[in-house]
Amino acid sequence: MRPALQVIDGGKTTGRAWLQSLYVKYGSAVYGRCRFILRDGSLAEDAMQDVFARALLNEGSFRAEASPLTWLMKIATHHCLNVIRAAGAGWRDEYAAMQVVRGEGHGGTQAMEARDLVRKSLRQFDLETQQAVIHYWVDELTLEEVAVVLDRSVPPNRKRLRAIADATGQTLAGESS
Amino acid sequence: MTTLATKHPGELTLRRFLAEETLDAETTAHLHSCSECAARIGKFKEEQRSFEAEVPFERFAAGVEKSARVLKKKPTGSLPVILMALAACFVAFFAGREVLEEVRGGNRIKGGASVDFVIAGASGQRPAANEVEQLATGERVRIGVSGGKHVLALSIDEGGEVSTIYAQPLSAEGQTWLPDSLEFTGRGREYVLEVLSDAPIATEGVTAQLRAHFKASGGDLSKLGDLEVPGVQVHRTFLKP
Repeated sequence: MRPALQVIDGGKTTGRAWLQSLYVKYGSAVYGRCRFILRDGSLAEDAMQDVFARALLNEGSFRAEASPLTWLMKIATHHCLNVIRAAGAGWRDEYAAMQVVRGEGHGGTQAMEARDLVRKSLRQFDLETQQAVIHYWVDELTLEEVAVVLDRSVPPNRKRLRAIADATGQTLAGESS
Repeated sequence: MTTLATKHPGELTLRRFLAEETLDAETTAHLHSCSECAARIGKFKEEQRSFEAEVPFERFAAGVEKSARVLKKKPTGSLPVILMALAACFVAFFAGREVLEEVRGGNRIKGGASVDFVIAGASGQRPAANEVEQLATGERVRIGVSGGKHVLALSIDEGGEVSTIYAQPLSAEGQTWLPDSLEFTGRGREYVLEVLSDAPIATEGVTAQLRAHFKASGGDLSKLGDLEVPGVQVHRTFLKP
């Protein structure tokens, strides 16, 4: 009779060391995204843990990603938007201190206001539009890059984002107001 | 690179740079010489320091591991369609390399490449030798490959939802059993595609093709046909319990 419990080569290599490298490289970015959307430190920490847990459970494909950070931010954005939808929570308008710091970078106040305006308008739109908005105005990806992240073609993303831009008085890159 | 009125890279690109991910040469050169970007990256470093003070690693790790256990047990609609089961679970279902060698349901491909699917559950294990395989409750699938340097495995369900299962280089000579057994959640059919190639294949391109074939077939997983990708491709359809 053959042994009933014999491990085949190729099991998980996941351990605390790998998790620590993720924590150091990506922790604040993912946590910041979760806070940005959920506006609550405790909820954000729970959501962040869920995001990294998915990386842990999909270690093989995660390691093969060209940009692990892009993968994490996509999952974090989608997950947090779903948390809000599931809770039936409205989109909160206040700015946290973190976003003030964020706005001091390139674009300064102008960029901060754009993010504020589009975020206030998000509740009017569907989940995929919300994702596109965050990747475009917060991650500052191009239309083409947003399309890749969301596995969609550029035209529908442009249409979605133009609707948001129109509602908030913004313009898309390469388009006049 | 950025949607703002500036030629500087966008936020995600800056964060990728900080995380030492590979960027194009032009962007990398810019980031090595731009003081504005350096200042912005400095703020991200400060964010990380604040984060580490607010959420210590031990708390982070314990929370992630707990979440992983919960996600494994109770996949929800927002989870990936496929649950990657840990090796620890795997041993309860598969009796070892020798048995797998006997039962694998394989496709021999020109050039010596092969893809093998093995199904295992409480009632034992068997090769997934047929084009369409019915899975019983609790049954899992393990995939073995040989003869390629890279493997890309995707699945698509009856709703057209595509999931990446594996995208990784194959370092070992001969047969490689890919990590973990797979348990498919939900109901209906799951079409699993394996592509073995000599060079890495962009997941996004294959995903897009799979979606296009799905659309062209009217959502019929039995009519997806071959994709236009380099390398060899093998597929199986699993009927979920």
